[in-house]
Amino acid sequence: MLVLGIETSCDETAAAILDDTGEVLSNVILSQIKLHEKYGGVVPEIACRKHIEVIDLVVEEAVKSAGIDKKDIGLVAVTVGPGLVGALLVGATFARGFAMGLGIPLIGVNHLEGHLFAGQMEHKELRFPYISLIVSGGHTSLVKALGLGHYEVLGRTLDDAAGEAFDKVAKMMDLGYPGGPIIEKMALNGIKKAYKFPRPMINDSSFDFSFSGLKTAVLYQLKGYGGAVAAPLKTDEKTVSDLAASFQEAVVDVLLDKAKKAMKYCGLETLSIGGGVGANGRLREVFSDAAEKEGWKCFLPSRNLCTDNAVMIAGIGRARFMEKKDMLKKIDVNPRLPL
Amino acid sequence: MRILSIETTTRIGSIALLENEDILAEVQICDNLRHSEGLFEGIEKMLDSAGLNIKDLEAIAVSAGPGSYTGIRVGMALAKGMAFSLGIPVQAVSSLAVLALQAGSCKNALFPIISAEGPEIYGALFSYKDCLERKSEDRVFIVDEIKQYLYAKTRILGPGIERQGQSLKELSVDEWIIDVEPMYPKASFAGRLAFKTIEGYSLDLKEIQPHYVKPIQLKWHNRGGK
Repeated sequence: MLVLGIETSCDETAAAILDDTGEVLSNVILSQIKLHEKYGGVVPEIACRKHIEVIDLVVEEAVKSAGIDKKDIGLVAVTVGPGLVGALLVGATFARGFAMGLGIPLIGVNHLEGHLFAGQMEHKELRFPYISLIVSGGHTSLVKALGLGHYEVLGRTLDDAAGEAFDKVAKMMDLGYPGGPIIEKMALNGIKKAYKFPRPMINDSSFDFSFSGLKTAVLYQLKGYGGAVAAPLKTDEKTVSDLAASFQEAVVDVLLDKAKKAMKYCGLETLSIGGGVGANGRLREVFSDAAEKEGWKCFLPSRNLCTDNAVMIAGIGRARFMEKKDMLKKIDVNPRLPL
Repeated sequence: MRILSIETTTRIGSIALLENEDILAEVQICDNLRHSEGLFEGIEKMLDSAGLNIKDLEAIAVSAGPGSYTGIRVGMALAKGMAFSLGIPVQAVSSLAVLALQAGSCKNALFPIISAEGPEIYGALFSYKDCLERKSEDRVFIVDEIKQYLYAKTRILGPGIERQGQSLKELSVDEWIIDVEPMYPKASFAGRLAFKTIEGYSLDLKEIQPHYVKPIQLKWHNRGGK
């Protein structure tokens, strides 16, 4: 059975095809980053307009580059939440129309479950149970994944998502959008200990996160507020690099610490990472090193499966469908769909 | 030619099944279009009642706006998805032209209106004596400024009456003929208009894309995080 996956929950229009065995035949992503760049964030109406404009082209390209006949597709999986409601509606309605035309089943997929499952798509040795760290522009969660559909959210961010903090800090320093890749690049030449930023909630016994205070600490350092420094910093390249490196290190430190605590608490020694911040080079390095040194397993999907994509949507949809064939004939989008 | 027609640009949506210009079935969708569920149930019901299979469809007509942005996109997404899997063409039409066709022939000019944001309306001028003719492009107006565009005795109709009927009456000083009840665009008429267009009667939209008429007005959004 060939599976078509469709993802339109935020600012990427994506479609992918999986073959009978679940292997990836095509993975098409049309990013809208350029459109949202000048606003420093995702503008919902712009995102929705772009999704509907290109959805048919993106799906057509996925079918074409997979080298299949669309009539051989046996299942459509589509993201129904969480995300921007208008954006979700475009993908979900297109998918339902497509499935109805071919008379094939359709399954609605949780975007977060897609991120949670992305590791398993690439690493066959990754099996439940494991701890999943989902960390992106819209989400930061630690999840105990016991089996397909059996998830316990251990903790989540109480304010900004980690990726959102990257965006906001980049904006503060006039570095542009999206913040993740830019901060990562600037941090390469920076000194990680140049500035002592807080590791929010690192001593808190919960598995929740908070990145808003860290962001404010960067702002105070930059502007010279709060007595930390007497005067605003000069934003020369050296300073910006040091700020970027110190900030990035603080985020990664908190993520690693909480992930390790979650594994210990649950008695699990396997961690899988999903979401756009999982593409961050420093995070990948720190997590891989820690896993190797401390003897636990860390699974990192390749970068293009960390950021939003339709492969993970097709993958989790396929897995769910094979488990229980009569699932979800109806699809209702839900912008706040919980895991 | 068997046509599935979709009209979801205003509060009251509908879908219809046509054989050329003849209506085989029509279903009104009053539920929240955000859940688009009614659309799909409606299509199944119509096909059943007409004794047709989805594969018997030969074209899809879609009302592309102006109107509700979300409604426009839901209709367009359904049209694009289904047309792509069936390998059949889509014809997009303007919701204002649909309303003009629906109004029927009339010796006076027709000015269908659909509410936009605040004091704004979408509108366009048509004449419909023997056949429907477009007299102006679809555009967005502030209610107060339409006076300079309309002839005396123009018939004003459409969903925009619901919100703007009173202000229009005050502006009109008995010059215009303003419908008492708002008329909503229907899928059956969108289908007829699309059929005429496919047949070469060139009145309507060339691109199979939403017809918003108005550029984006920005509203800021926080990516969530909680």
